Amino acid sequence: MTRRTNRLIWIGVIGIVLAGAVGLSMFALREGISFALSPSELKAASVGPKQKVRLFGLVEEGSVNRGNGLDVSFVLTDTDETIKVSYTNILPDLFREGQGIITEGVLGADGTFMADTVLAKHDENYMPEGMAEKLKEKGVWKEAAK
Amino acid sequence: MIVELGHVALLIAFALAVIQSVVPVWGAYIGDRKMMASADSSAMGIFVFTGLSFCALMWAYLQSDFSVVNVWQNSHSDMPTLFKVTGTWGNHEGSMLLWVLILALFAAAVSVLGGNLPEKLRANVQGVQAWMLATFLAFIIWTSNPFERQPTAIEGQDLNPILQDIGLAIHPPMLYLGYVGFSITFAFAIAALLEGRIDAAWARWVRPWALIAWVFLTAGIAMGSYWAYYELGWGGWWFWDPVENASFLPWLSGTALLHSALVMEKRDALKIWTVLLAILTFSLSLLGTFLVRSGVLTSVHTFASDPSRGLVILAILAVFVGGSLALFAVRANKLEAGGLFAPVSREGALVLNNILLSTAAATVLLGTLYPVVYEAITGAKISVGAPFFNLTFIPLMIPLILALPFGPLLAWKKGDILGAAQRLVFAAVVGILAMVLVLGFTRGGSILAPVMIAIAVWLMVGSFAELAQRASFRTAGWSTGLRRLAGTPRSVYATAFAHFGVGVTMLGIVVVTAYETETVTALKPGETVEAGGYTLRHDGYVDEQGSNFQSQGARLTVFLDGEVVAEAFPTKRFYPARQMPTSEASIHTFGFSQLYFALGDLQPGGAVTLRIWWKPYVTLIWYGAVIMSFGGLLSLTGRRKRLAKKAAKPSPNAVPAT
Amino acid sequence: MTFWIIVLAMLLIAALFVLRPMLRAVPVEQAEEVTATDIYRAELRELNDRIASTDGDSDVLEAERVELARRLLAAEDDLKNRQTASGATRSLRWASVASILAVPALVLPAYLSIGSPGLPDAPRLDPSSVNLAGQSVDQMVLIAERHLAKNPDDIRGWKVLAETYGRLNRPLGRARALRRVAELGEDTPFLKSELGEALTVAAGNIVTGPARRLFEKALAEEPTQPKANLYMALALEQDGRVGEALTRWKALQATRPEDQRFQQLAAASIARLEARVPSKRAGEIAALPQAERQSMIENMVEGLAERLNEEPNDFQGWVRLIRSYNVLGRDAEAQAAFGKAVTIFAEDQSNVGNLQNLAKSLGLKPAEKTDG
Repeated sequence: MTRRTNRLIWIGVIGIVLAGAVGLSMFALREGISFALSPSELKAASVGPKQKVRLFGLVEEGSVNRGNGLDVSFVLTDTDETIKVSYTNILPDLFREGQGIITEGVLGADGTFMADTVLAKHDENYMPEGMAEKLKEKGVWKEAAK
Repeated sequence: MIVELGHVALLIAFALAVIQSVVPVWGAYIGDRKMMASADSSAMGIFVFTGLSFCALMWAYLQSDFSVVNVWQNSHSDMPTLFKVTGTWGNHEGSMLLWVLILALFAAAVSVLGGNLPEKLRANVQGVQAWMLATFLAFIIWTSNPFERQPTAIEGQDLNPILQDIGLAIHPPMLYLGYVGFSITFAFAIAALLEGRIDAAWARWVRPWALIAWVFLTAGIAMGSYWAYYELGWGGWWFWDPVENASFLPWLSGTALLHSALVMEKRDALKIWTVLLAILTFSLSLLGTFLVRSGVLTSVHTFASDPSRGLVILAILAVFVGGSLALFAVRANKLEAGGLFAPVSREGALVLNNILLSTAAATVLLGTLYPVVYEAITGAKISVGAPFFNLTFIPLMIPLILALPFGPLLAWKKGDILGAAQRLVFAAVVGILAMVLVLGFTRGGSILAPVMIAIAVWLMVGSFAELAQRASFRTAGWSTGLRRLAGTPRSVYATAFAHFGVGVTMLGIVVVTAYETETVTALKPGETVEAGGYTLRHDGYVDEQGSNFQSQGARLTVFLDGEVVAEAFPTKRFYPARQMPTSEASIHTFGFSQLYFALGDLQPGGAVTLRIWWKPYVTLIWYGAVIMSFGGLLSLTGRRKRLAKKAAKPSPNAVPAT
Repeated sequence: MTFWIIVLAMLLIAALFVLRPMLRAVPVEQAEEVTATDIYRAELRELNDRIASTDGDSDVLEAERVELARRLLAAEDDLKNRQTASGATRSLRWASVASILAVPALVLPAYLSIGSPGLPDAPRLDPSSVNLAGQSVDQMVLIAERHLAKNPDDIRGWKVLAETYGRLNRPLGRARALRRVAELGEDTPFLKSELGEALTVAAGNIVTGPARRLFEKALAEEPTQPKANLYMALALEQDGRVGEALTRWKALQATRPEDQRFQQLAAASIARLEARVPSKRAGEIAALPQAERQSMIENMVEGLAERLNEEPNDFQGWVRLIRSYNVLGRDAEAQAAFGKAVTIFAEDQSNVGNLQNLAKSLGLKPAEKTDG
């Protein structure tokens, strides 16, 4: 095998791997990402009926409603807008009224957010990203004294 | 007084690190042997004083000394002693101190074990290590000082309950040993660039350090994954979360580094690439430790994040990563490049491994950082979830795993691919057999899982092809075969085990992903439910009070075919000091499979929601990692022996003149 | 003083770590270093063994041997050309002096500025460390804990400790002490309720399963146990069974007319629960389709208006009605309701003020002065 073919083979291999990786990444970035929105952003945005979205906000006090079995619904707010979320599964330990959480799911036709995941961070001072600034602007939330 | 002495010790360690940053490197530059020699002794000094300081902090935790702010924030006198100890590093300040202690430990290890290094290289390595020590000690002292005091308080605020677990006792130190271990390879790379020379011996010195770091990192990631699996109660073992990615990235590039250093040692090639990998691996480790802490990336399970220090952290990262890459750009052309080599050869296979691993690392990095970049450009927040990583990472791993058994069977320089294929026929047959068996025993489901199982089995069996070839029991008979096996270098076993471990982990991942079942139900005492082929009966609630929490659990009896096979006791705990609930999952292992119970909320009417997973072969995921680490350890021990064989040099004229 | 002596010793030891190798007359003999030549030699030896045992293709092995030999020779040349390091230089003296000075010069100012020199340790388990003013109760708790550790059967001691813990807001400690009292034989309905309360407080004022079972047991033994009744009502409320909780409170309210604090609590709870009934429904309404939601809201508003006709003294009800009309765009009716409300609450200046503010914020006309 000459040096030249040798080099061509390596360039070919690297080329194929890189092209494959770039192609896959481009495709996956279109399919695999989801927008993280607050309730007012979600209301303002036009979101397709099947598009996965992350919705973050505070669980409104007194809004948690447990239905039959594992059905639960609650209202998420960013103090401007509210969105009703329905969920059928076990809620995380740190899920509480007034707590900041993240949900993942799709927006239903009736304006209810159908969550398939609810995440509450394992940190009692946790605020969903962006939420803290928003609340600080409004003076609702104070930095936890540390 | 002990606390204050700990504080003084920390400052002394910093002062020593500052001196160490200058004196040995200066000595190496002007050729002063005594100045270079001071490096070893002061590396020891830095380790001793950092160690004293860490012990003082631990002492404060053990004594519940709430006059120390850090202890007051993260401890409680009711906590069990074990968690008082582990609480030392269960917070930002303490974990930083542990991180630096391990950095100092590695520097000290170089001064003890690095006796056969050229003195100039050693002095430079210690100097570079000290730059990092000085920087991070300064970071601790002036932004995250664990020895800050206050008028004493009667009770502490308790450690985050999720961290009050034995997994935390071992997992972060392991992970840090891995991350920080790569600081030595980084220091070697920078020293080589400073000196402007590098040879096969360099690779030989670097490889053991890379191996040690890799072994700990592998074990640390596996433990972290298991900890998340049982402690967070979500039943998942990997979430492609930024924290996890951050630990996985240096693992990928570290694995590539191990293999490229091998090529460099044996074939005197891939030098510049290896140096770059050494730099990148540690840069990714730094990224792993700090990017999440800086608050730039948010993760569902970060604990020690404090955005106020973010800027300092980012500045440090920029200086080390940017500085080392700039040095690389300026000096790399001074290093002598190696030649190209044949695609079908051992080194060709190792290069393929490097191409695939580093591309995989690049896609994971892309997915991890994409949200940050995207937000910076468009202002919109996005999250990149598991689908992205599954779509990019897995297709890159499949060719790697398919090609993997070939590698060790190819000779250096010029391999015989047909010969290798012949020796792998057996592995291929077993793999296909496994696929057929799986297809026969399962109904429905996609064809993908059986194919993946075939690939995993192919790798598991194929890993031992080289050993089988060496022994060749069939032609040589048992006794000769065994003798040959005994005479086989340990590195061959190490390779076999490490590769086998990859196959085991893959098998576990495939089976559990494809065949796990989840049952979510509400159950009243006395009721039964079917889940994963087992029958469970709710035998009522039991309350307990721990030293710093109260818990409530449901007693479940597990039946298989009418026989009691296990008693499960999933609980929920409440920690009043932090007003925080946690779930304690109950996990029962049957062979390699597990039955996993997590408790939900108590419902009106006495029922409790219950989540039950049947996780077939899930433990293989972690056993695989244990086997990989074992392979790494084997390679490490084999290597020391070979270095000792240095006596009895053949005279140069034994070399034939050609 | 001792502290500073130890600090001084530490500084000295630290300086020694740096200086010892530099002050040595002859540098430590370098252990023989491994060089590239050693590695090539070892590999060559291995290769020779393999050639001898004819393990593998001999042509390939021979070619490899030639390559290795070439590299070995190159590495030996390289090694010869490398300059060896000299002994001491003039910089050494400077480095030594700078090192001696650097340790204290860096440590002492830094420590004096950020450390707390001389501040003693304050281990929690040592009561003498907790003698700061205002914390004598805490100190007494420590002494009591010790006493009870030695005399675990002192039932009165445990009771006092439980009460103290309660005051200090350490509910788990209180629960532990109460459990001990129960173990010692005083497992009364009252004690069960106390324990349940402690658990509830510990759980962040949530009536947990264990607490609820304690209250149930207490009520089984003594149906009128006030604390247990109270917490059971709270439990119902927390379960979302607002209606049942309301009934329970109303029944409880009648039981103890003489207890002022209890009456206040009951009234507050009833008010809270009544307010919650419609708010619950609001969440459900939000989920309905637009047209249905509209008609449903209108129905509700009509209902409210009727109810206010019958019992006009519900101030909050009026506020809600005015707002509702305004939201629905029925401004004339909003204006009318506002006018009515002002007449009804004319006696109460603060209520009128509130109504005026509301009207202003909704863009209604201010009410004319009513006579009176």
